[in-house]
Amino acid sequence: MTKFKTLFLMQLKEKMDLSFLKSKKQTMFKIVFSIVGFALITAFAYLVLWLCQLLNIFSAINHIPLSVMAVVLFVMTLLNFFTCTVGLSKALFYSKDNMMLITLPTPADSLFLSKMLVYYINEIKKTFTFLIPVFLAYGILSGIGVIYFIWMPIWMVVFAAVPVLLGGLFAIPTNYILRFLQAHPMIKVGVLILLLVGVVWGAMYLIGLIPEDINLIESWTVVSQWMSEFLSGFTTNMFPFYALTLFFCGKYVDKTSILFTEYSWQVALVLIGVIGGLILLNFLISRPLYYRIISRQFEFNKKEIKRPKFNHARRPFWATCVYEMRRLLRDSSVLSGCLTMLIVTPIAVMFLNAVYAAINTRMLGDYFTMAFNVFVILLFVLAGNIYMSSIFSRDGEALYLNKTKPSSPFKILFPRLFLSVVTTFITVLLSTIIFTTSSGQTILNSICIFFMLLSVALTHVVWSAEFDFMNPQSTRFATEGSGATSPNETKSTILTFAMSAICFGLVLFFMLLGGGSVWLKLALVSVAFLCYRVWVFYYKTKILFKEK
Amino acid sequence: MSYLIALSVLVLLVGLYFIFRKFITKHETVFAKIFSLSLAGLLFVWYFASTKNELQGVVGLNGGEFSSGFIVVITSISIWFFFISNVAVSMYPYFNKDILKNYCRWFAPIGALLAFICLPNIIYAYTGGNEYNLCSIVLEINVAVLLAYSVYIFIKSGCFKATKREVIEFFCALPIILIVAIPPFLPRALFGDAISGNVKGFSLNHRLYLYLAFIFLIGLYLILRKKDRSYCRMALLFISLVTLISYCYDYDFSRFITPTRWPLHLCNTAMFIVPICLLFRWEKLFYFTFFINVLGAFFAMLMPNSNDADLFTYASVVRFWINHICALAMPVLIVLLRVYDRPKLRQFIYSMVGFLVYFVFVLIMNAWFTNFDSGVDFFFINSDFIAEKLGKWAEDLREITATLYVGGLPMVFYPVYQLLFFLVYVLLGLVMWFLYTWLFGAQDVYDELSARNKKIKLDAAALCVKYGKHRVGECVMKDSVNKLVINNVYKSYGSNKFYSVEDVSMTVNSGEIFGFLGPNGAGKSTIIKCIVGIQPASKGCIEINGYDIARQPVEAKSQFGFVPDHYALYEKLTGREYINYIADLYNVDHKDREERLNKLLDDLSMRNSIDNQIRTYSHGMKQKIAIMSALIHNPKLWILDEPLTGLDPTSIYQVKECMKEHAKKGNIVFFSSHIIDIVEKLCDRIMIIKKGKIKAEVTLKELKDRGETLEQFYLKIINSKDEQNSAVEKDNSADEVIEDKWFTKKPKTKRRGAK
Repeated sequence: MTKFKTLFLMQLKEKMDLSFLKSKKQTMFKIVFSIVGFALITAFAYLVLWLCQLLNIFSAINHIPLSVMAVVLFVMTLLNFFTCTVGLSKALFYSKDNMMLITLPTPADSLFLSKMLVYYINEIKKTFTFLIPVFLAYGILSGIGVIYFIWMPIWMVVFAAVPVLLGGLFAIPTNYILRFLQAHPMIKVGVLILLLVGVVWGAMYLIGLIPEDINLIESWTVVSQWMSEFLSGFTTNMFPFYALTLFFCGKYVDKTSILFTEYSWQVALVLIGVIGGLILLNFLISRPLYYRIISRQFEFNKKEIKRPKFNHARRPFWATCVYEMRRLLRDSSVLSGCLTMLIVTPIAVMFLNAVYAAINTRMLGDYFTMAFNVFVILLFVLAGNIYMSSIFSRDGEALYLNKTKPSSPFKILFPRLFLSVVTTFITVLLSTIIFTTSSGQTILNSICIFFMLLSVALTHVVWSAEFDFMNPQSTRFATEGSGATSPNETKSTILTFAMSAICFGLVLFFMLLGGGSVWLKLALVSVAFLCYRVWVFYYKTKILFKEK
Repeated sequence: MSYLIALSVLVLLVGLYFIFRKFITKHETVFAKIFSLSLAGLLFVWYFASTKNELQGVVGLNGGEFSSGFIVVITSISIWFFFISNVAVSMYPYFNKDILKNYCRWFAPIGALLAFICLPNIIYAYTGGNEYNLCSIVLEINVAVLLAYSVYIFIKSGCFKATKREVIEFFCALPIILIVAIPPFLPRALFGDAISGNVKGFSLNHRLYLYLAFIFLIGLYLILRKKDRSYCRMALLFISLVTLISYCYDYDFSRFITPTRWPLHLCNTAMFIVPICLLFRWEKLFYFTFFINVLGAFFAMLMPNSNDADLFTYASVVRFWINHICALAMPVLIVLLRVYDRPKLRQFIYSMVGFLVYFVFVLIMNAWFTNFDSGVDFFFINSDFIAEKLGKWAEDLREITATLYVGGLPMVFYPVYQLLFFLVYVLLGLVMWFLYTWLFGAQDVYDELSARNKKIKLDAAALCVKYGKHRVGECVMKDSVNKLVINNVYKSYGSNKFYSVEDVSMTVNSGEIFGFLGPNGAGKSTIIKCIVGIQPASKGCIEINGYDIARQPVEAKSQFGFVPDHYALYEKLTGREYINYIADLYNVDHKDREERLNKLLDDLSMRNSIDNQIRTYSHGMKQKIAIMSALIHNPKLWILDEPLTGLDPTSIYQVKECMKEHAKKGNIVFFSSHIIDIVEKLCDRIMIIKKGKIKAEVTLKELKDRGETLEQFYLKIINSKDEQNSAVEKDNSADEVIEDKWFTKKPKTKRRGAK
């Protein structure tokens, strides 16, 4: 047990940045910051639910039905299941620290369990950042009694184990599939192309389904009926989730909520039983295979190279760009991220505009449409570039190579943003064309919009790279491999949301203010800001390069 | 009549000066302080004794009671300059700063003279022409005293004698001083309502004021950030005093004796608190305004409570913005410019206690004075002004009231609403703390960056001075061409005072294979990291083939190839791609690259694996790739950090052969190793390092001549006790250790274990 505890704490400390505990001030900051963040998410969820209630979107009786929360729970559980499966297949089988952990004199059970437990702790953290705030907001809105606010989080924490345990089970076949695809690159490419074609076709099909004229007010009865049918269908077909939600939130009877029903204890027992069963299954299935699979992580198939390759001479700047692109494109997570950004963003914009085009909006609506387009494009593009916040750290121990290169720091570091710049350029160009064509913008406005979006996206790229430069996490990547998470990525994610939201606000603000050349002003401000951030990056790299 | 009093005072002062000249000269500081306090007192008395300002009625030079537009212009300007002069001269004895002295000697006499000439008009503006009331008489005395004292400073300070820098500084500061001291009525009096449109709802006028607020904050910070603390204090005090005068343009004594009209709104209090804190250094009071006022001012600026009729140049509007810009910017500037220290938890608690006291005070004031004046609403917690903006829920909360009767007077409180109001402000105070922490973090980063940038520039300048003008990339250290020269290098990590490596010096000549030995943690890798530029040396310099690694890093790095102690490479690339990449970085042409790579592939037996990804390589193969990439540009200096660890015998042989061949070509091979036998067979010269200090440097030939093996010598050096014993050892066997300077102890430096 002591060994297990040591093993668990060792990994937990490595995963979670607990350095703030050393300083009282930082601890206080962290606590207050977490509370404020939690309160903000809860407030936002409350606002959304309150709006839905106000507009009677889900129910005619000015109330959010429980089935809506069941849908939220289902969707989140599904997403968590996918992320856990992928995440655990990396954390359990591909983590670089396995090389060291495998040699420790601990039983296989301890190692496996400690990894699962660390992941579970991480999952609980995630639950507190979305699911619990949303359910809290629901509780406040529905006026459920005080006990709910203790009862619900406790059971949510317990429930968070389900996707983790399921993920642990499914991580094995996922791992085998990934290995198979890795061993057969042609099949991998084929699957990827099929997936992409499927996504594009599906998106086009959905866009084609959008009617030419959507009149929300006139068709509201139909929509409302469809929604009601969907919710009741969901309640029947996905009864376990509905029962769980009922268990968490209680029953809404005569405008009051009753937390404990006759089914509560049954659901509790079933939930505990399911978790117990899953633990057992994990133990019986995953654990025995665990050592066998992780030992394969260090095996490589040596290929016979039949034809020797040629040497090419390039200029230093281009050489860095080219080799950086090669390196990144050989990293499946980066490659899939780039492809997702390149394909999903234009499709999402097309979809969004197809819906908007069908809705007859007033001027305010038009403003919102444009602002929302900007928001969506930026959100996708910026999210696709979050990996830039670990661009240098991904070198792991090879980070030192940057310092020995005979070139100025800026020339060494800046070309490493090349892939991101290229993909961002293409994505923004495609998205802008779709957006401006759909909204009937003039050519000058279209150019301004393009430059505005591009500047904001590139600002994010440079800024994220700067996070990594200032606070490199190479040791973490050296220990955990490409699956490691960096605190800089969290910062970059926050920046993604903040920048998208600020741009949304600014576009709307300037539109509402009126006056001409709104896009030109925004483009100028964005370009100026980009220049500033590039200068800051240049300045910091020039001065701090030797020490970082 | 007005001139008569002023002239009389002037003559009196001049006469007294000539009579008591010696005494005054002897006690100059005391007299200076008396005059400065007198000026401040006189200004205070007449300014608050005046009950009106005729200039407020002037619109675009046409309105009001003045005879002509010219009179309006000249009167306005004279008042404007007079306030600046009065404040500058009042501060003069307390700050020994050239810029203040120059304003007192060059600007103040002009301001005072102008005020003297326009005295009747100023009196008319402030009293409606009554020359015999208290306000007029004190004003006349004030002008006379200012004129006399400023002329005295002018003569005493050498009239126009000044350096070029002082003159430039004077004229650069002038526009800023004029802008911050602008009287609120002045824009409308001079320009009328030319800029129409109200100042709210993010209209153009509103935005202009908002931009101005941030330009003021950022501009002042950029101007003052390099000045010392007392300079910043002086500048900020000056600004806070002139803006306070502007802010109080329609205040009179009656306001101070009517509690219901006291300026108790948060942003109003800031106008008084800031100069008081700058004058008297009341720390606790300052942090109250720092945490509480700034955010309030910001919100007030976003949602100004002005009427639709309030236009851009209205005195009340200008005053509102002077007030809120100061409330926002001044506390932040005071801390950013380090006049006050950055707040700690203690200061935050003080500020919250201060806020509690303030809150309770205004609660009582509101409840009490509402019985006499229903409009009393200090801090907006008595009326529904804020609740209305927040919505029905807030108005509902405000419905909950509690009434206390004190002496028969009802005192109405809104306990829930007011408590919530207080808590929200405390929370906002916390939020401000976060924001400030970020702001200070950013400031620290930029301060550090600018300090380092300055150092880089100084280094470059020093290089220029030492070696004369040279082109970028030109080799300037001719003495160290074809050599690796390390001079008195020290290395400490971060802000640590202990050195991991201390006073290391060495010279390695071309054609040599140089072995660097020492136990684990002795500092070998640290030295090597300093040589290759992975870490900068804390002191000393490293020259590689005539280039300084710190000052000419790019050129210096072109001179060496480096093989690290670990085999970390870009694992996603193939061996060939990696080597080509490195060759590209060193600008190796295609022909040389083909030739060298082919030779290296054969020498190191890597031809069959070169096109596989590096991640599939064994340790030895990775090491070989690192060696190949280090040699692809045929470097003058080849540095290897423990290159043979983990290699099989064949690989070791191959690497050794490579090293010999490279040295034979007249290059330098510098390597660290633990394998004594190999070092003994391979090296021409060795150096031993222990606990960060060089312990010995010896050629292998010398050892051979003494009949001693390297292993024996190494163990003797490593096992010998530290400095004192080593010194004895040195005396006894001087021939054993070649460089006795390594034993010199540096008394002030301490060492910690190598990182």
